[in-house]
Amino acid sequence: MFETSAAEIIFYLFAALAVGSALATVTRKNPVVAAVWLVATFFAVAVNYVLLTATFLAAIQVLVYAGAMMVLFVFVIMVLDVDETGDAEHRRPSRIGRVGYYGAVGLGVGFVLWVLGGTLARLYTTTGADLAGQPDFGTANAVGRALFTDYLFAFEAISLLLMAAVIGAVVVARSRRERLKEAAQVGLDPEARHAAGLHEHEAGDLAAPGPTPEFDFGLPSASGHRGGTT
Amino acid sequence: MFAPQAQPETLTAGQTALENIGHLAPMMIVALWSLLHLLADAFAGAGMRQFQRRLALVGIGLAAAAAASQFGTIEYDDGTLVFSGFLVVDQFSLLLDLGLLAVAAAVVGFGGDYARAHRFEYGEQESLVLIAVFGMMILAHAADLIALFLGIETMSIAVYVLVGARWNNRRSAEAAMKYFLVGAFSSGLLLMGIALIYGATGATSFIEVSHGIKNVFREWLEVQPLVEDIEAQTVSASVRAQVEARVALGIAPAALAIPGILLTLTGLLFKISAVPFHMWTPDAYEGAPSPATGFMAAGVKIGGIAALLKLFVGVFYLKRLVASGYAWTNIVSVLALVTMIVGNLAAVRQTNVKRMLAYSSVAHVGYILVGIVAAASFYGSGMRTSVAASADQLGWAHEMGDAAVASVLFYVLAYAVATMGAFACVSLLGGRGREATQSHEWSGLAQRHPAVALAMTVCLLSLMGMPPMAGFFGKLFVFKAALTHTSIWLRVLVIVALVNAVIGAYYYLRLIVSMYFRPAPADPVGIIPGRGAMVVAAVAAAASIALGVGAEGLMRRTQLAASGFVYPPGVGAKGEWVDKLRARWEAADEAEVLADMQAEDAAEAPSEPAAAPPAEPDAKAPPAAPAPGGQDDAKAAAPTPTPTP
Repeated sequence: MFETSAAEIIFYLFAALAVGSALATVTRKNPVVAAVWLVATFFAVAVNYVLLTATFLAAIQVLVYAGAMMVLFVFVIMVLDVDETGDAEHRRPSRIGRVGYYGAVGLGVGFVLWVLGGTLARLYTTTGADLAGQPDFGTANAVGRALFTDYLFAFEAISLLLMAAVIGAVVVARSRRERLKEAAQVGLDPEARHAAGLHEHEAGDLAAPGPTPEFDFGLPSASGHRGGTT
Repeated sequence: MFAPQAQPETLTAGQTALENIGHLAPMMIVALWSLLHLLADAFAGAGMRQFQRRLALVGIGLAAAAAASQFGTIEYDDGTLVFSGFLVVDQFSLLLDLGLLAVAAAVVGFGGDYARAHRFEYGEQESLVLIAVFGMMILAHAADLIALFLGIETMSIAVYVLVGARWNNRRSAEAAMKYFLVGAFSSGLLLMGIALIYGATGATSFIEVSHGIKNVFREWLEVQPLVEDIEAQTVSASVRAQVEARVALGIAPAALAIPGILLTLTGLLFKISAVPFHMWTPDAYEGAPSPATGFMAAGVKIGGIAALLKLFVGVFYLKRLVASGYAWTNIVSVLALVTMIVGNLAAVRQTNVKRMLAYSSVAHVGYILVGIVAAASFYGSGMRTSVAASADQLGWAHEMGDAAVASVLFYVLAYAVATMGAFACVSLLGGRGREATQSHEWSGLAQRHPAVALAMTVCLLSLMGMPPMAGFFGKLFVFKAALTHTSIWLRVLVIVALVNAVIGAYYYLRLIVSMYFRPAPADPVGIIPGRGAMVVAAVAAAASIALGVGAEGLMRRTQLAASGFVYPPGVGAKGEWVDKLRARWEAADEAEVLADMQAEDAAEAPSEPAAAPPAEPDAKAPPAAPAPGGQDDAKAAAPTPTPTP
């Protein structure tokens, strides 16, 4: 019953690698280390693309994701200068939290093992999509043709989706700069500065006292209204 | 097989694409306008924000005009597949387009004033609203699982930014973070489900998936005798391995399809915040800027409900999937029950108006899910409602299913109108830098700002389900559709829903009483400057009443949108149902005209003045009255449906 071919061994090896390095990506505390694990995930997935005869996709995966996107990620991490000693590391989760966490992880791993075991033992195969019918499946030519005929709309709509993501990044990133600018114009009392999400070490740059403390938006409603305009 | 698709083969690819773009005119205008607006923002100074908003409104108006000119025309009765069957243009999607554009117009209308008053004005806001609406319209038009996912993502990413845009408020960032994490997680579930469905059926287009699912279960049934043989050990050892392999092959697609369906369901229920997946809703709704909250509560819900209807009622309506032990309708029924109860009970305890509206929106999802279960039950197991199923009874079940879908559409649209109005009022109240969302700050509002209090009251009454408002007819139609089915479970659901409507009345009325009969606080908050929110609130309140008084008109449009809902587009079966519906209306209208003439004859005979006021009583007799302008649906209601003449 066990007809395990070389391709299957490679598949399970790299599938396990992909899952393992994906787990490592989300569990590492150092963002750069996490990013490197993410590269490993991309490579493992690329190998599985090759097994599916999607060679062009595999090449793109390595070039774009493992190459360009990763550089971008690492670049952003460097620029943002992520604070590694945040509050989260000092706070120990409660006993219930830890039990729940490890319980959930155990359940998840158990489920994956169960599914994998079932798959290996029973050799579930599906009729699935018939890929062998097209001889040029997976080539750049075939991908390009599909992209600009059947999936033309999806291709164009995704560009709008990415545009929304870029706008979002701009809005969020610019707000930080505006925040500093506006805070510099008006003198901020510590409470309002805290409410605006400014950290202590930034306060020195904008200590110049302004004319009116008009800036007190966004205090949580529970803490009531403080200061404000006349 | 597909008549409209056979034709484009004579055209070049470019001509086909142009024709498709013409069919999708509303959507294309919205996409184009989002880019245009962005371009304008690049060159515009801070003083031109008002102009930019007007520009966005013009675009929405153009798109709405395009959708209105398409909706109701015979050309789209059958449904037209565009972009190689990726999207479909039919009455259903065009009606939802109109609703979504109305929501977008409202958000643009009062979003700018709010952002200015709370000092986080940014030029990209309208562009993001347009991109989000583009995503929602993809959901309304989707004819492919990939289109569905694409629509959800486009909608969500733009809305995350809208939620987190209020940079001077930590709650806004918190809300965006929560919404983003939950949204990304649910998108992952949805994508996993889509992958499993693709694995089981080998297709992503809705038409092929619905055929594929049938085959999956046929194969599964075929190997059942073999399973029994294996369990009874009657299979000889020599062929045992072969038989087992055959069984595995037969079972595997179903073993993929059922988890796939459930994962997809979970992903979509996250988006519309049904109960076990609603935890993010109050925090995200409270922290988001009020226009974005209204957009989430109205627009995102319309999109999510459209996706649920299309995928679950329109594709997974197989008897085996809606009337068996592992049917998704069982799960959705239980969730509808829990959603109504939890949403309403939690809303009763809230002292923050935005949180109250958030929980009330959760409760409304429960009512809508009742309608969705009813629709799927009719399509899937309609035959079981009678002893012997004939073609007539099958037709009846499908007609009732269409009616249930129409009632869900009615409910969603009425809910969206009232919700937009309520959030416009919420966004109005505030000043000196903060929003007044605590309910004690609303007391005595009627003395200070009677117009705001009145608009809020009308919208709350519509949400509550007070008879003259649209919300009442939404509830009435949904419950009526659910009660027509003989399933005991649906009747229980309706009874629970009625009890919940009473609980809901408590917290809506509490706010109204507080606005009208409580003294104002010593230090009352004002309203923010700008007319936008006031106009939106007034229009929404007027539309709530108009859609209630003229419920027949909206009901006809939703019926048109829902007729032949489960039939695939382009093959003619859908068009036959629409033709039947139109014939029925014509007969009803003729009878109406005849009755009117007789009544006029009778009235003219005794005295003159009786002929003068026929307009009002006419509109007030819901079942028999003609729709306002009902005869030609081609000129269907513009985004904010005009009041009855």
